[in-house]
Amino acid sequence: MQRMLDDETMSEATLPQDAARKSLATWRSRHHEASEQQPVVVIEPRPETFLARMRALWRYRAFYNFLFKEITMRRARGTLLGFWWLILRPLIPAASLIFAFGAVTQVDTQSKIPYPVFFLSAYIPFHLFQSSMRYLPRSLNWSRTLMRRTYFPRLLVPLAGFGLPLIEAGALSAAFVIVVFLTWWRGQPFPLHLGWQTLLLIPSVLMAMAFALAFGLVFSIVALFFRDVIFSLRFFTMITLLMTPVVYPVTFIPDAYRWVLYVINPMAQVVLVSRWALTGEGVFEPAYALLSCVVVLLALFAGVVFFLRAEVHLGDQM
Amino acid sequence: MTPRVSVRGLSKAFHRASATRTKGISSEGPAALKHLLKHVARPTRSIVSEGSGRYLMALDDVSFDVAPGEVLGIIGRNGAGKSTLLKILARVLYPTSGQATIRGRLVSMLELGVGFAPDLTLRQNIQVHGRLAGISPARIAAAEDDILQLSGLADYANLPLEACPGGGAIQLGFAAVICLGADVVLADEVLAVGDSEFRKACEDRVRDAAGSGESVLFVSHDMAAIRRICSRVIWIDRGRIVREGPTEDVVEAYTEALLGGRLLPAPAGDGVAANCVLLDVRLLDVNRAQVGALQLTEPGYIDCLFRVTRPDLSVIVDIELWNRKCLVFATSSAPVTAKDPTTFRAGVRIPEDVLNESQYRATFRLRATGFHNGALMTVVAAEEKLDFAAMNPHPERSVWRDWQWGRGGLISPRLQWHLEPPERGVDAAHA
Repeated sequence: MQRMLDDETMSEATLPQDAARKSLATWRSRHHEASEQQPVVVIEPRPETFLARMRALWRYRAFYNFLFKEITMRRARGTLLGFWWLILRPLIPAASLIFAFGAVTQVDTQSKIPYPVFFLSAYIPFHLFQSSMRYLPRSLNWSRTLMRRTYFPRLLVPLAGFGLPLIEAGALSAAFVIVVFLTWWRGQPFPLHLGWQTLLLIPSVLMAMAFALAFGLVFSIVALFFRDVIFSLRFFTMITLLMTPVVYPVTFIPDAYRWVLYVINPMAQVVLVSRWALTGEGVFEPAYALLSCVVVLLALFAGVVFFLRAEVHLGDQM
Repeated sequence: MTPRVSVRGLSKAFHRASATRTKGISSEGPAALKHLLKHVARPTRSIVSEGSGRYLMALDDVSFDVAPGEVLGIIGRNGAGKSTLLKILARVLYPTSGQATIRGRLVSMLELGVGFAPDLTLRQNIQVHGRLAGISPARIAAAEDDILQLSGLADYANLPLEACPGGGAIQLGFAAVICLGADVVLADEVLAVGDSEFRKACEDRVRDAAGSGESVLFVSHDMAAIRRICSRVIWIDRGRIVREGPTEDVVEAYTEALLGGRLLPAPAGDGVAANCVLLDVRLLDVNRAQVGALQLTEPGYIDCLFRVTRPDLSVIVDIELWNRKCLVFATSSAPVTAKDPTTFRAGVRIPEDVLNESQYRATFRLRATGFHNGALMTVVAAEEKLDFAAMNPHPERSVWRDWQWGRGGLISPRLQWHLEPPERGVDAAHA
């Protein structure tokens, strides 16, 4: 009896499909316009020219939006705090660094502004870099199933990894604004020095993202072979933090060696420009800024070329 | 008429390290990465310069055309290169040499069962699918409700795909392809998954497509389905086209060659391995027809064909079934010997209601014992693997009422429950 009932419910469940089968052509014609121009795709061993592949990125922008949202939301799913993690993750290290170097060690910043403002004005772009280094290399691994099955420019995947770092940087910026107004409210002079030079914040942030992208492109591919890379990157960014004048002023480094720092670690100029643009602390040295800019662009170019060349063989690894 | 798809001299070589690589973390990682880095350093490097011994030709100089409205069947043994061909056309893989031209919008139904993201809702999945097919968001939105209705999953629209009844992904993918339309459809073992009703819907769909000028490339192990649908068939073996022509002729020739053991070159020398060859590994349904997926509510067979050409050999077949990295079972046949060259068929029957809804890999090993250079020795003559999905297209018919929410576990056998009041149970045990 039970069996019979089951069969009845089943035939009911498949009814819409039965109805559909009779008129597959109508289902189809409703949304498919036959008069559309037909794209012609030529598949060859050599990928298309660099320009054609860049144009393909633009053609797939709708898919990029989806990928961006998907990779961003994936982190929040399945955790107790959900979205709040994205906000807590940058704030906890920032708070502990401020406590360690501002309150306990009391680093001599050689400036009048309070330490939290001094630190955060440089830490925001640095965290953007650090966090991108954390997420970009994992992005290809996250979208493996998709890549096994369909074509889209693979370069979109690491590019879509910027969602989480940007949210984290946004959370830090909000914290920065709160800190600034708290110091002002407590009677101290307004710690920011805003003006036309504040616009330099934009190139500074873009440089941080470009430098992270350069590494992210290479390591996302290497991480397909070795997951270890992802774990070792944490130490890499930790060392970069020590090599970057975020927690300490740049005057800690002897004058004669500073250009070396700017060449091997463009992030140093990024954070210095950001701090100068926001608080007016330090000096803006256009020559050094340009030098770091060139280093970042060279790294980015190398990363993109590596990725585009490796992309051809990625399918074999899926 | 200009062909929809034209393929000219298409070849694909896999580096051995990449080819033998299994999913996930692999010990082949260093070799595969080294190979990749070499090609990144010199993108124009030809594989010939490295020596062809390190490469596996998955496709070797394949050429054909598909006209509008044509349904082209592609048949061949497990690992013959059929899927590689479709993956190149879907632009998931780059070819090593040759060229393929596709005129019109292409929709690929590769790995249809696992294609959609299980943690996205059905609506989101439709969005991704449409966007990847290059359809404008406005038109996807317009077709969304129709797709949901056609797939019979409208009630689940805002639930993640994993919460849908078994086979939901397939129904959805299928409905999306119908409603959104395409000019070229690549179908890899689509009919293998799903029940007979679904298969019938698929076949109708393919015929309908041919009528309206779509081209279909259809890969299947199911010869009956190939016979019913395809107007022309290509038989691929070891990456080469063996035969091309009208369906009946090619299918006939293929089946005959498979059973006659003529697919492989004549045994070279009198070595043990050369005289004991594995011809094919297959998955069969309850009617012993070859399929690509196992239906849980029916028994199935994991089966292989092998040929023994030396009378003094004693051959044992080992079959292991793996679920990712877990061994589900391992079993061995009784030894067989052949007085004359004989093709054997060996396999195990998988009872219904044993495996779980998952992806399985069966590995086959032939162990041959015989005299070699005067010494009695046992060698592994051949090894082959077979990947297949096990699924439950009819949760309603299943023995478990809760099936549609999925079940955990490596296997999911039919177990007998007993449930009694404790006192009576204890009393009965003491009595």
